[in-house]
Amino acid sequence: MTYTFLEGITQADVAFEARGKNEEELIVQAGLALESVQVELSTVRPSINRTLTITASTLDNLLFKFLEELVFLKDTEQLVFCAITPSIRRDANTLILTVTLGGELINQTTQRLGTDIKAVTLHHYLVEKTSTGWKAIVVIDI
Amino acid sequence: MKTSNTTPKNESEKQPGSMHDLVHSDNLTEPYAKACNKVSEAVWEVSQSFKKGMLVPARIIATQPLLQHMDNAVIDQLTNVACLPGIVRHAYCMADAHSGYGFPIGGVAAFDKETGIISPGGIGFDINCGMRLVKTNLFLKDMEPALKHLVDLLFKKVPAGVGGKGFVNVNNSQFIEIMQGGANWCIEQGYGWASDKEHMEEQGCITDANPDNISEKARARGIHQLGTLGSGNHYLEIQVADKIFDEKTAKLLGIQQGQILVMVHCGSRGFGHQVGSDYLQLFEQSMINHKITVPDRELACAPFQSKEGQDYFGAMACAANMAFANRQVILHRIRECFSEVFMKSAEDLGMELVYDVCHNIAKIEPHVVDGKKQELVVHRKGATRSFGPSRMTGLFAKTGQPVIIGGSMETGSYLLTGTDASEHTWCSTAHGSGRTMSRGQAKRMTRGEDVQKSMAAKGIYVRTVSYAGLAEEAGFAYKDISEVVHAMTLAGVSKPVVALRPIGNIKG
Repeated sequence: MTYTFLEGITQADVAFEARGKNEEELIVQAGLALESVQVELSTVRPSINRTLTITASTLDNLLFKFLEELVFLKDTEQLVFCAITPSIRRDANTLILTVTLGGELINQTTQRLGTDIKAVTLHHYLVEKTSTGWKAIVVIDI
Repeated sequence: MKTSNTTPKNESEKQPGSMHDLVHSDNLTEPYAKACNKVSEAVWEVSQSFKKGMLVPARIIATQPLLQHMDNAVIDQLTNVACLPGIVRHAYCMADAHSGYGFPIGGVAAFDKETGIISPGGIGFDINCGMRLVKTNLFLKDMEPALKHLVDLLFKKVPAGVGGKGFVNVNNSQFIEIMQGGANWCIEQGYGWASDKEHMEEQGCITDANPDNISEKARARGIHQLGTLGSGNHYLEIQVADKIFDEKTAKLLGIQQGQILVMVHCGSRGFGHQVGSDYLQLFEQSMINHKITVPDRELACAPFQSKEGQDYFGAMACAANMAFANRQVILHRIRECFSEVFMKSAEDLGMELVYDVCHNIAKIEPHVVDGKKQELVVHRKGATRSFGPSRMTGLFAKTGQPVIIGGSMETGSYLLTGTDASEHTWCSTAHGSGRTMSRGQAKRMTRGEDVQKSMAAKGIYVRTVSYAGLAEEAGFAYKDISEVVHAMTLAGVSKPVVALRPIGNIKG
């Protein structure tokens, strides 16, 4: 399971499709897709860890909030991530995501940087169950 | 494209614009192309019967070649805008239009202030993204020996690229003052000249700002970004006045052939982006209470006079002011760098601001509707205000409002002026050249390193944080800016004054 960048959805920005055999893997692939727009992942070392807890009533809201957190950490702490380790549990009608992120400070000398992300959008946003697991389509504003 | 006034006959069978259709195309196809009816040489209309729910017709300002090369999604999105409550007269898009979120980029719509809505999707995530043009008294022969040194220094001194920490450190209370004061705060702190504010839309400060409406997340994203360019299509460019179209106006604005100018394109950075995201999500919920339905989630909106609408307007103004401040402190840095390289003060180098325009914003403006003067909430998303001389004061009452059209970094930009005839587009014109292909497609066609070399061969020295980003911004990925300017001239909404050719560029 992986992610691919999509043509035909947006001219000025970036769209990707992420697939996972379960919900956790969807979170990983979508997170890595987003980060890979900003930096070539092979040039990032997982030397700094952050752990986040995010709650939502649905998987699509949970994924959306998680991706927004990655953008937030880039702007507020100058962090980009190359490793994502999530676990999702259910409490009544709430999904609780606990995710550990491994990455490092943005470094124009050691990293091969891409394009800054402004926002995760609702444009064509989609999370759905497939015969092989989960799929998400995400358009990000850059 | 037709010139008769016909529309699709059975809309229920062929309803364009389903949310999850992948509607982007390289050219207009049926039924979109067929629905565009010629009004005049550069004005096309899509009738209200094109789509169920349209409250007004849609109008596209473009020459036929530009229209033909628009993607279907532009028409889809524009006709969605025509469905929003309180829209007045037409939903418009400009000649540089391409598909966006909610509104197309290049979209303009005005809403009744009492009964209409406000929508973050009509403004964009990068609130008050805009252009700033600064002149110098230098000429190409003065610049050539110093160009590389100057561009290298600017690249070092003006942070650009992913993340990017600003060079102005402010605390919370100062950031609140910036939200309220915009460029004025900067000038008071010594980051600019008193005369600068006379050369900005709204004099660099929107008065309706309310910092109480700003989330902690937005504040945290923006507080360290004052003085950053960002990336994508944002840039700082050294240019030469290459061709003068209107000698009289150019002279009034202090520009002559061969003169060196500096253009900056950036906005409110993470701060504005977070404000947009916060209120888009809030409006999605509050639309239920207001019994509003929209054809696209990115068009989430609130009645302008509702609490949510007013809260967003106050927050949007904070972000707009942060963008004015961002461009102002960058101007200060540019003046410092020029001063260091040419060993003269910025004053001695004649580094006066020509103008600063907003191209992602909503404003309250008086317009004439059915013969009566009325205040409207004018949304411009990737479109520039183009007030004619009669709406301006001082020098600009002679010239009209300067309009800065940023082109691709390879092909150049334009300085235009607004016209009194622009009232028919709510005094709006284009903002750039507009993309013709996706970023992915551009990257498959070239490498950033090759773009840099080809630009060097054309006499353009470019520094970038991201070679991938450079490839995405290659000149061939954009429309012909001259055709865009020509379309807006034909439509009578702006007129060209100077064509500007890039010679040095800093890209995030």
